[in-house]
Amino acid sequence: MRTPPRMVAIAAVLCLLTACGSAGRGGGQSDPERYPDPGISDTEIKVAFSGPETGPLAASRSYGQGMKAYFDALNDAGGINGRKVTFTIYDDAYDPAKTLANVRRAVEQDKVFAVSGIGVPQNNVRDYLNRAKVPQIFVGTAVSAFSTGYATSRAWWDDIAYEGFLATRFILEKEPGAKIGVIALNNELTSDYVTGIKKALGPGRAGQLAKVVSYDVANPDVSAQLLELKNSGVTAVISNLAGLQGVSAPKYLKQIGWSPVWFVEALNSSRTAILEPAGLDNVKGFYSTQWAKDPADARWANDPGITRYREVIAKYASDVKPADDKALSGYAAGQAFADALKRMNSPTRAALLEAIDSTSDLELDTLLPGVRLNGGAGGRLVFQYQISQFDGEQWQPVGDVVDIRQTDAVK
Amino acid sequence: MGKRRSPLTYLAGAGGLLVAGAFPFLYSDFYVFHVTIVLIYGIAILGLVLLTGLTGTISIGHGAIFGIGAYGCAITMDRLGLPYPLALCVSTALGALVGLALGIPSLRLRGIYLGLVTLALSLVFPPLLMRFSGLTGGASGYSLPPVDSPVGALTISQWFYLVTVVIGLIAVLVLQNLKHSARGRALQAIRRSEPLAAAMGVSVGRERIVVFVLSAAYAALAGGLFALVAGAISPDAFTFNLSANLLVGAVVGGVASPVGALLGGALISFVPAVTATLPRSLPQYAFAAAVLLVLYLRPDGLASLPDAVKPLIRRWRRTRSAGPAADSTVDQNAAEARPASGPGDDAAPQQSLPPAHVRK
Repeated sequence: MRTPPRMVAIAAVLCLLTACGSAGRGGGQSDPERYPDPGISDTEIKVAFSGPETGPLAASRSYGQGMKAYFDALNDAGGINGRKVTFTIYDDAYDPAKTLANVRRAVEQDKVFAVSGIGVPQNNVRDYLNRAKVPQIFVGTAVSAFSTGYATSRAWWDDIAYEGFLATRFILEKEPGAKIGVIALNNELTSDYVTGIKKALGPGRAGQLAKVVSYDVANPDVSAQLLELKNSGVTAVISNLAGLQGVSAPKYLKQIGWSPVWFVEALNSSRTAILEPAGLDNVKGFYSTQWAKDPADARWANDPGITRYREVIAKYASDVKPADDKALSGYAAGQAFADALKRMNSPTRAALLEAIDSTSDLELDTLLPGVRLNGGAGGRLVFQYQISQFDGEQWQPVGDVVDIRQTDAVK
Repeated sequence: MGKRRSPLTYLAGAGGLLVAGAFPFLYSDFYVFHVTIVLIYGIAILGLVLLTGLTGTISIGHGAIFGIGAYGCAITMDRLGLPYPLALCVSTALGALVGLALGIPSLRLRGIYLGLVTLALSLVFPPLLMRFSGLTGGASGYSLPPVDSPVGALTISQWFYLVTVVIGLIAVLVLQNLKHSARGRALQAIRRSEPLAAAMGVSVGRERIVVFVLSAAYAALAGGLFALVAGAISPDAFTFNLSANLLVGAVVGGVASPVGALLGGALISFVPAVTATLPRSLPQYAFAAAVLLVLYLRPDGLASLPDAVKPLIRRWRRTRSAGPAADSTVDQNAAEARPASGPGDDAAPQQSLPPAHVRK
């Protein structure tokens, strides 16, 4: 008699899947009354992070690694109110389908207390997490609308519109008749940037926004866009140029002998990632709207906060370079996260969100002097900035710390 | 096609259906969701099984067609307010249209050149989504309006699982019917030799286009289901990687059978999911190792695994029933060895036999 392979195989696969299912079950709560939400107990808080560990955007893995290193160090120092934070990184290779699989696994199978992550794929799990009422904490994203109107989503990076606003205001103070140009990544970041710039210009001076150009992440050459800006009579440029483009643009500016007032986004003002490869001479005089310390800046060589950060990274994330500003960004997010976990008035997800929103004048040793974190509009904590200028060696503060909430940029 | 099926086939089929039906009620929504995704990839890979398995044409563009289905579903639901069953139909129709557009170059292009045309589609699709951000939501993508389960007793994950199972079954039945129909035989003739098929009166061009249309419709339907189940989509989900993964899934699973499609779907969604928390780069190594292992050991794909086991079982049986019965066992072997040697790819070995053998 002939064995029918097809149907038998189907049945076998289904049985196998069914069998796989039973493996990861269990791990329930010890005391449902004291701990109505999963992922937290007397001894543990479970946090999941989904981000690219592999793939073309694996360079940004240092964000999650920085956060994990901070929590690992904190655990070795006794944890948070006796609880250790189990911080697990799930690789999604920046593929939203994988992010969704990771996050559902974290929430439904691994029963985590909160989720974190980085980048656009986090948009694809935002609805799911909000429906499941799971906190999506300190996502690395600068898109304005990421956490607006989402009850359980909080972003870590500042709203890029605020940087556009402050840069514009600064330029107008220096040169009231400036013609402003923008070059930014061809996604929401461009329109968000422009929104902030237009707000600072107001309806009366809207004409001073002379030209907006965008670039594609896959094309490192932005010389055509820069020429376009130059030919539009632009005198000041507000830029969000990441990686290769951030490196090539200053060189090209030097080549064509064009030196407008030049602003770079805080996230793309890293000495090791952008300034050094671009040539320190070529970026001398650049401005930025910063809020965190650059771990590679000589200004912080003996800074206690940065020294401690370097030690933690060296010990707990040895394959990450301490000079990587994204690692510092993740580490700082971990600090603010831990602060909120410490201040929760009950061990619930709602209490965590409340603690984050009630963050008040929190100082971190990884942020620029005078910059404090406050819970506020749009599910963010960063509203204070230090405008800085690169003097050819270091970033130097220009003026005092400014608070965007005191302007009309924040609704 | 008049092949006699043994009672065991029906038993296994019924058992499979029973397990498939009972599964969502035995396991948490997470597993149900995960298996739904496997099935969805399986349906998309079925499209490739159709294309590659039947006509020998390779497509590296099915990830983009999958994406077109997903966006078609999301946009018609959100912008036009269509209910999701209709949105799925729109997705499928969109996919069929793209298949038609791809089928036309397939009249003139062959092999690697046609592959390049489909590759172009998968490369250009994500940038196009960014370009028309007013319609597609740009880099952040689209959130679909939440769908409620129409049956109170079922969660939405369970509901979509069952919907996917039913659609998957229909997809398999359509494929099997096509394969064993006159058209299926015509397609196999084309795969073997186009001039010969044409000489026998097969309209090669028309058949190629029909297969492209059907194959793309499968991929787009799967994409629509994916959008519904995922709840949110963005361009990063439909890059060249997805096209490559679907093709890898088809080849590793076995390009010639529905079971292969299911196994391929499981491979491309399970391996990354299971290995996601392993230390850096290990998931990629694990995936690559799994793919290489299968290709080295079972070039016909995972679905041909039973054929590898069968001789072992036979040998085992023979040693047990050694003696007078040995003669009849050998006879049986001769009869069953051929048709079984490639579930789905039955045409190839059969036709390589002397005609008399096939007719029997």
